[in-house]
Amino acid sequence: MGDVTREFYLKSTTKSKYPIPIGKIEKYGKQYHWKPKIEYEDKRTPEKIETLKYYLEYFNGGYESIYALYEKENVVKLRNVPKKIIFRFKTDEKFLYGTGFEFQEDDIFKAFETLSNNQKEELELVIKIDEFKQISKVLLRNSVNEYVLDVPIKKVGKTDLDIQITPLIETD
Amino acid sequence: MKKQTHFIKLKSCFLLLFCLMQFVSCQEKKYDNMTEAEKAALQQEIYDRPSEIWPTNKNSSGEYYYTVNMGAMEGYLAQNSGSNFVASNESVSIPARSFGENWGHGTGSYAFNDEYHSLPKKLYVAYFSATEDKFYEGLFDLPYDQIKEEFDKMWRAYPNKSLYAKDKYDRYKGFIVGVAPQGEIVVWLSSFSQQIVIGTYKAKETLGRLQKRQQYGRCDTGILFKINYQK
Repeated sequence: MGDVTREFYLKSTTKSKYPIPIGKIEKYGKQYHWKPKIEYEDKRTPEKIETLKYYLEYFNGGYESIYALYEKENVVKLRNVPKKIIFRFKTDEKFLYGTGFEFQEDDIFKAFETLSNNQKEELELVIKIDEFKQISKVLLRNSVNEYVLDVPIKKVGKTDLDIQITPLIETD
Repeated sequence: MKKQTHFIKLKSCFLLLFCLMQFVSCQEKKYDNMTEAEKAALQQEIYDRPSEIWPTNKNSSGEYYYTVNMGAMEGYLAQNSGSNFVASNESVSIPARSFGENWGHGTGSYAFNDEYHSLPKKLYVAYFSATEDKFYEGLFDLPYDQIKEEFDKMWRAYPNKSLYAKDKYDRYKGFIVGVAPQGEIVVWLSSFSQQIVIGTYKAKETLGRLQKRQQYGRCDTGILFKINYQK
């Protein structure tokens, strides 16, 4: 190899645009009892939300997909603090709605620490949808209090539902 | 006499074939006589049935198909120096060079060493951190039983309407190693739809031993050897 000194190598290395992440592993490793939920802001809305998918990406580098098929498994359980969430739902048989957003690190960690009462409380991360199918509010709540998270108001995407394909069956 | 025996054999063969045809026609009839609800239930059952042919993640020797990759936390610049997984009969090297800064993800857009290997029992990590100007090294025991249990699991992926089994089912098929400041190491098991942490470890700062390893030039470690040597 060429004459690369350690000093030269360090100087030539491009600097990162992020701050040095010291002590993050312990912070990211914290787990809380929680589950995601989508609900209308106005509880009188007659349409029913049928969740098709949640994709949760955690600060600790893990991720999880909760599909409609496993909706019964979407129970409160020990999960890490989410970094990003993507969701899909339908309200009737014609359209599918969905979008995703990222959380502010300090904000979401503060919310979980404030409401979890030393990781004992069961929490719900609620995405509120208004009548215009916009995310109006995202909040974390326990049985008593709630913490409104700093997430920008965003319109939820809308698309046609996939065409159903009947599986093949060999009968002869 | 021989001719007669041959005739009997032929006759029994025809009889067997007749019975088989009867059986098959009975099966058809059974399906035809089903109500719509029963047919729908059967269709769903066939659709949900895991394919026994695909996807399998094992070869005939019982080795598993998996990929290995390595990355770093955002804000932490590091370069590989011969890290590898230690399986029972081989080392599965991680030929990533400068780690990408994307926590939980490997370096580059493709996975390395995507072949059949026995599952790893240990992980050897060696890297140089440009952020800290330090070398780190460590040999760690992996939770082999847990890894095996996870690799044997298979679950239904996103309920798309694909007719192909490979699109319907998912399972763990990769190891990702992440490095962070002060020698902190995280190992994930990765799949399309899930990724879990299987261990966190602490590598030690080192000075001398890496020089020896790098003389054998595992994966573009010449630069590191030179850097370490000339300090």
